[in-house]
Amino acid sequence: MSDAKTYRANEVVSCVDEGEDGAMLYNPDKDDTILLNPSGRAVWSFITAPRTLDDIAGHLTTVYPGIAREQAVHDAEEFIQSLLPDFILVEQKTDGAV
Amino acid sequence: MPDVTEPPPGLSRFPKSLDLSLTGRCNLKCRYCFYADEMTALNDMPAARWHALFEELGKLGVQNVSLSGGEVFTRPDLFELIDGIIANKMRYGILTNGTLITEETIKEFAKGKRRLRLDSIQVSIDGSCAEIHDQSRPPKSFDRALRGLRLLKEAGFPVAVRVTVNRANVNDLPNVARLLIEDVGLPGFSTNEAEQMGSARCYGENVVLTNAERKQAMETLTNLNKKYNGRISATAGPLAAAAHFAEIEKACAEGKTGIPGRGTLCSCGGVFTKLAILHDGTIVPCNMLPKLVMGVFGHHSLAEVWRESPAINAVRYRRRIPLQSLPSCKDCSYAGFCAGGCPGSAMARFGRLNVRDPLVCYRVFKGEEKDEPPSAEELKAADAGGGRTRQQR
Repeated sequence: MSDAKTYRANEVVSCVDEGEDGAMLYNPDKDDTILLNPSGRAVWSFITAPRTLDDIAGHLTTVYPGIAREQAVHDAEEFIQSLLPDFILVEQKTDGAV
Repeated sequence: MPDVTEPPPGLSRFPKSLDLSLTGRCNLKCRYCFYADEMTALNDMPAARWHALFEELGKLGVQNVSLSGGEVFTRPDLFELIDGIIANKMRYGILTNGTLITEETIKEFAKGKRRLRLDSIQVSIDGSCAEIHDQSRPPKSFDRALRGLRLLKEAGFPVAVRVTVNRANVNDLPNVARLLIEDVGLPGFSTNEAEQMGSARCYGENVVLTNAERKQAMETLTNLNKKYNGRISATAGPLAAAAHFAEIEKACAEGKTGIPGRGTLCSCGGVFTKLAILHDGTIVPCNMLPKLVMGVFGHHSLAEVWRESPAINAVRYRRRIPLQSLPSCKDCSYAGFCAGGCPGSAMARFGRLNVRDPLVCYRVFKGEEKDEPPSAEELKAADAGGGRTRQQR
C-alpha cells in the first residue's frame, strides 16, 4: 500500500484571469487574495482534481519542456507551501485502502 | 473632454466591489432618504434575476457587495439572496435602518456561512432618544432601531452605525456619541449629513443644515472626535469637511499654494473601484448618481459598461477638469487645495456633473462667498464639458 499527500484547489476560492499577468485568487472565507504568475496559473488549473507533488512537478515539465525535473519539484513544493492552508487543501492519499 | 467611450489608462478589468440596492420597499419613510425618488419610480427585480446577477459577478471576480435599499430586511427572500452571494464566492455588507432585526434574524444569520462572509452591518441612528431620532422617521423607529442594534452587538456581529447629521439632531450630537460609544459600547461610528436630494427635497428647510448649523456640527464633531480618540469617522458631511478645511488652513499657514493631487474635480475615487445596481437592474456609477445610466443588467454586459460606458467615464474624467476652469472657482486662491466635492451632490443640486459642490467650498465656509446655484455661464461651461452625459433612463 503506497501513502502520499495530494493537493487540490480549495473550491471556495475564486480565480480571475488577469491577462498576461497571471491570475488573482480570492478566498472569501478569509477575505484574502493572492496573485499567481502564469506558471502558478497553469498549476492552479491542474489541481482542480487532487494531485500529488510528483503529478504537479510532472505537469510543470509538460507545460514548460525546458525545465529540469529537480527544478520542477522545487517549484511545485514552493507553490504549494505559498498557498497552504487557505488556497490549497491537503489530503492524505492511501491507495488501496477502503 | 477626452473620449468618454474609452476608459482611463490603468482601469481594472472589473471592480472588486459593487453596491446593490436590493429593493425599493421600505418600512419607514425618512425625511432625508436620498433614494426616495427611485424607490417610487422603479420596480424590484425578481429573485431569479438577482441570482443571475450574482452568478455573473462571481465569474467576473467581484469580491464583495454592499446591500441596501429601500430596507433590505423587507425582502422575505433576503437570506436566499445572501446564500446566492455566498455560493458565488463573494462577501457582503448590509446597510439597514435596524428596525426589523429580531432574535429570529440573528438565528437566520447563524446558518451556513452567512456570518462568516458578513463584513459589516450598518444601522442608521440619528438621535440619542426617540424624540430626536423619530423627528426624521415614523414613530417608534428609535426604539426598534436601538433594539436591533443592541441585538447585533450582543450577538457579536460586526456592527457599525451611521449618523446622518440634520437639523433635528445637530444639537444632540454629544448625546448620540455618548449613547453609541459609552452606552452601547461600539468601537466608533461614522457620520455624514442630510443633503438636498430624494425626500429631503420636500422637507429641505426642516432637514438640511444651514451654513451656521454645519459650522456648529463641524466644531462639535471635531471636539467629540478628540474626546473619543478618533472613534468618529466620516468620508462626507461636516466632520469630513472640517478635516478638509483644517488641512487647507495648515497648508496655507505653511505657505503652500496647493496640495498634490488636488486642484481638479477629483474628489470621487469610487468610480474607479466600484459601481452600483439599482433595484430594477439599472447599472449606475454610484447610487448617488441614479440618473446617470450605464445600462441595464440582462441587456448590457457588466464588463463592457464598466470600461466603456460614457456615463461612468464622464465621472472618471472629471479629474482632468481644473477647478480654475470653472467660472465659480476661477479666481479662488484655494483651488489648488480643493477637490471639488461629491459629483452626486452636485448632480442632485444642480443637475450637472461638472460643477463644484458648495458644501465643501472653503470660501463658502469662510463666508467669502454665498452657497448659490451655479451661474448661467457655469452651467453652459458644464454642459460643454459633458456634464449632462446620458441622463436618460
